[in-house]
Amino acid sequence: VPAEHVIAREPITVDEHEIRGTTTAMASTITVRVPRPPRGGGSPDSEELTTLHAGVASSLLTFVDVERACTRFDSTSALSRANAAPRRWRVVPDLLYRAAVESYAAYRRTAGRFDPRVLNTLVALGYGSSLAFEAGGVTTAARSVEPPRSPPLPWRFRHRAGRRAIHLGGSAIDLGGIGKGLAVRWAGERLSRVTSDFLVEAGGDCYCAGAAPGGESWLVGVEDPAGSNTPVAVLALRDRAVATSSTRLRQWRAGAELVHHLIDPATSRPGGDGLSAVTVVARDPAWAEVWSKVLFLEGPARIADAARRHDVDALWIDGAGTISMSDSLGPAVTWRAP
Amino acid sequence: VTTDRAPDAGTFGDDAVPVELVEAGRRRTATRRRAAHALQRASHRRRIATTSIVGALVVVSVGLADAGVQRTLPTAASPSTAATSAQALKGANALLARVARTFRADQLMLTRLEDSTKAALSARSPVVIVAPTPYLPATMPTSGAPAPAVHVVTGASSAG
Repeated sequence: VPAEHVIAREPITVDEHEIRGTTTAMASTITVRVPRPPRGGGSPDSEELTTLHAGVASSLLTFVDVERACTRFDSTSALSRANAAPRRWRVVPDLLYRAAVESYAAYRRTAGRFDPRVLNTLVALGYGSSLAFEAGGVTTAARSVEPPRSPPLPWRFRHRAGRRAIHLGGSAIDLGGIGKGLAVRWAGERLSRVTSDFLVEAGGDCYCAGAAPGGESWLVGVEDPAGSNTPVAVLALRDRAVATSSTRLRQWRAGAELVHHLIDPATSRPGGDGLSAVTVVARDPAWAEVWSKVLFLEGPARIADAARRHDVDALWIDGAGTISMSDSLGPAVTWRAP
Repeated sequence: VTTDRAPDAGTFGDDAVPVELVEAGRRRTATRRRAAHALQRASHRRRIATTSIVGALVVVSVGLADAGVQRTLPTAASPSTAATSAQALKGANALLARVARTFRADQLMLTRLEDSTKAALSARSPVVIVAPTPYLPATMPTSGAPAPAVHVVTGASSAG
């Protein structure tokens, strides 16, 4: 039973400041934090604390459920079964249905710059199964990647809401990035029924709702893609999501070539040459994830203009370690590396 | 029926009018009564027939529409059988059974979640005091000072 499993594996802890729950899903550590009620919720068995505790457990379960439906690394998942027959209609679980529809909406809104069909390229580069990126030194036997069509064929995704049926339009898809953003969104929706102040973190993506313990804004450190322990900037946020696309971890050697996981759908090759990481702040976690990926693919020369054109708050670091950001993000930056 | 008299029957006394007239009046009354009954039966037949025909049309239309929907979703329909009304009903029953099972599973999960939560809080064992996180004000210097402690870090993830 997932609920017991999650709670038993990683107890939800309560200290004088907050309620904190942790689990592992989507190859990431998931953390949910809720400030403890200042008054009235003092005793551990108070009704308010019990409600918050259940809310944290419920939000953690969201990630387990989304992973089960949307992972491509489990051949028995609903997504894997749909990917196995991309030219057929398939009735799918609600979470996968919603994720696929959101993914298609992102494809449309970004004019195809976000395209989950890049899965074919990832597989061709040897990333068809989960790889141990944390350990480093990953090498795969890459197949030759088919030259891209110019422009790529439109994605003929179709769906029927009444039956929760999707038709992938002939191509298998990867919902990894947007799936995590959606899980953060849905976990936040569950938590928002019981509190207005919380933090949901999922391996680089997060949503900061309301205030942190003590009433201040949530402080979000932007990781240095070079790997140092000091962030390159600190953001103070309320009711905002943050997502980062970075090549620091997920890069590997495909045959003789050094590649990474951010694939440009226009070229079917790893994109964004010259950039190391892009962080986006947005109202919604899934869209933060989408825009961080799309802006990354723009590369260092065009990213500023793209961020302005799409009205996205972004911070990016190039290969030389230079930090830049869109003007609109300025008020949220409370500290930056000298 | 016994109180149902012809309108003009009471105006004639048997001994005041010829027998032929009385008999003719009775025949006329009987004829009118039979005609009224026949009209009533015909009216009932028309109502029942209309309702039956409309009902049958509705049933046939629903069956045809469902068959059309099943044909547009080949993966959801049985490929070897025609979509008849009986099969549509069978499919609907199976769907409802699945929904009921899902609800039962959800209910079970929520119940266990509630029990687990109560147990965790009442036992106090999971109440672990972790090192308090320093919470710093949002108005910080933007340079020249060490990086403040943060609540969360955004960056690369090992997998999607």
